[in-house]
Amino acid sequence: MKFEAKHQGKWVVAKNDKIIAEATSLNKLMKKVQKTEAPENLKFSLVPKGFMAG
Amino acid sequence: MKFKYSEYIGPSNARIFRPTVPIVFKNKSKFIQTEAIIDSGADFTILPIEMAGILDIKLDVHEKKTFYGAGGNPFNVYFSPESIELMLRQDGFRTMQWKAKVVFAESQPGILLGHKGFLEKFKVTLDGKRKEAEISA
Repeated sequence: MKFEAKHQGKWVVAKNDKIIAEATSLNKLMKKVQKTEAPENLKFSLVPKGFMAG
Repeated sequence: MKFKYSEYIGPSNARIFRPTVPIVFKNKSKFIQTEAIIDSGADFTILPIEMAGILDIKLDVHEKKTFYGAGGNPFNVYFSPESIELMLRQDGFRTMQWKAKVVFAESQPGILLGHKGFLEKFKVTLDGKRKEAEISA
């Protein structure tokens, strides 16, 4: 998958490996997509902000 | 199973490739499909605390622990009171399914698959040149 700079620090949801929505919280994102998309077709991710170390 | 790394566009448009896999986290009838990062520097599998609510997991506030990230910065975590199910799927392969206790963290930067709950269960090969992760039982 590819995550753009604008997705940093946000929750995103992808369908067929393409991001279809984003939000600042997982709950908000789920509300956005739950009426139109089947959960088994969706993949959620929290995109790290900046570089990671650990 | 082989999975291509995910590409992240970071600060100053830097291209960062991270090993990620599609993982389903399931607790009873609640589940969430995710794209999670393999993190050999993490002792545990660490999920953002919001995922506990989605999975209907009640966390015990008295069980708050402190973990330390790179650089020594502390952050608060809560262990899942019971094991949850994790599933790794890819077309053409038998689904890998296991149970593990995971950790939910406040202010977590991503979904991290660490040693407990993930790496200890599999043979994981990270091929940085090909940007590909191979996982086998």
